[in-house]
Amino acid sequence: MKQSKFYKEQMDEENVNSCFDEIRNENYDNSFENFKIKMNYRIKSSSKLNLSDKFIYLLNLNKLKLTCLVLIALTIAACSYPVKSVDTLGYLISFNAKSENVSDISKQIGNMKIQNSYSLKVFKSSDNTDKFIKFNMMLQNVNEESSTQIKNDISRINGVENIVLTSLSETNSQPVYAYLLKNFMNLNVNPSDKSPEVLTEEINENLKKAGMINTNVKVVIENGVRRLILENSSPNDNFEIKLGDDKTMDVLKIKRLDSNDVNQGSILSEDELRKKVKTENPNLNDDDIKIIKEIDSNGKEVLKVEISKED
Amino acid sequence: MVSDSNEFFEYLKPVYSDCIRFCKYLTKDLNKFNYEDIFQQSMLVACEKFYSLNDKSKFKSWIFTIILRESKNYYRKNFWKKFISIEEITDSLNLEYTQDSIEDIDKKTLLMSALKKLSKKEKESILLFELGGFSIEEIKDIQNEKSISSVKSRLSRSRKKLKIFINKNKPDFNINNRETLENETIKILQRTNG
Repeated sequence: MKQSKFYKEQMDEENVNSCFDEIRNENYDNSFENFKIKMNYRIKSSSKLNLSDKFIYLLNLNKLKLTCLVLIALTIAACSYPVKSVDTLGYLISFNAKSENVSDISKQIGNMKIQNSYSLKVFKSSDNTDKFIKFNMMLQNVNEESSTQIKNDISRINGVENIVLTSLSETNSQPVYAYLLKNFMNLNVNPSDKSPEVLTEEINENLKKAGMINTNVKVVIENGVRRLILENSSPNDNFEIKLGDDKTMDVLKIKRLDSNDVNQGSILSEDELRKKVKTENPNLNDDDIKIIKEIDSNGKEVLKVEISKED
Repeated sequence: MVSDSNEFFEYLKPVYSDCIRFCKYLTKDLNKFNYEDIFQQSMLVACEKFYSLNDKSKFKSWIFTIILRESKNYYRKNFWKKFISIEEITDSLNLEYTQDSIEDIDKKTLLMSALKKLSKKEKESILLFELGGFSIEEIKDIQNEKSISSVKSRLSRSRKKLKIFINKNKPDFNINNRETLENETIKILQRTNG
């Protein structure tokens, strides 16, 4: 016999009800007195506790949370503890050559295929004032192996004497977290529709979080293009900030060299200086730029740039 | 405090079994330690706050609200309890009730499985309605809902889900069939003996 839909629904309802009825039939009344005694004991024992007992009870109850908190606090303290770090900033290859070989050696070095950026400084040796010229070649972003290879290549050039490879390093004292972030802090900022003021604030906040409290950067708009300007910086801070998207990217990269090891004013070689002037003034030809070597008041050799453009 | 606790137990006694049942079926896994823990903690909180209950006629809904809240807290804090050694776990309350027959266990297991299919709110509503015996208006207040209609629709939805699950997975609940089977077995045994 076919069951009616109503009858089936009734049966389904009854099945659910019978399940609930089974649960409703569970009777715990027998355990009430026992429960009451246990609860009264717990209530009385907890009300008897004095302040120190309550404190110990709370400590016991939350000892795992407290342990975690203490561990976190210790980690933060350990990260804030200053540590000394020695950073290699680059390598210096110095050698002597007789004054008549200077141009030849310079040409040969120029012909060498050195992939890393470098600066070459040439000045009169203090040992033999007229006869010898001292070369200082500063290599940046290079490892020891590559710099040794370059040194070996240079030592093969005729006339090169007393070639020495020195690693340039600096010793810093800073918190662990700053040390970890420092090597090397990269900051990519997506400007979207943010104003220069907001971007400035955002970048400076990130720098401060990375422990660079004395460094300040400013975002300005020049001729409709966003530019990053370094306002203040600490000598120990190394960072790279990229502002913008793939099409309009402005990059500010700061990597400090030790002033004792390198004469910062003479980092640019003659060719690099020429290139730089041409980049800044694209309408100039090579003939328009004259680079003159001069001795300044401190006795150091400096390069002077003269631009002469005829319309 | 002690006099308060005696008064508290006076009020608790008539709803004691209801509270345990609600607590038990509210827990996710019917784990004895879990629901006893929740029940004990709820009762401690209730006893402590009993003086603040002005309208004692609302004792039942008040204590069920506490159980609901403590149950939520229990699972939130459960992470830390995983690391507490077994010795530190407070002794069991040994909440006992009359033993079930196999058929009862079947039904309860089925209902537990069905309850797992409901959302947290749905489970709370249906248990408050079926085990707590609360009206829709009271459930609205306990669950802190804005309208009765939302409780109504939730109850109807939950019941529908339970109905579908139970009828899909039910064993033979029909007692008459069971009796027939028993009779037939007896007849067969009599025939073989005879």
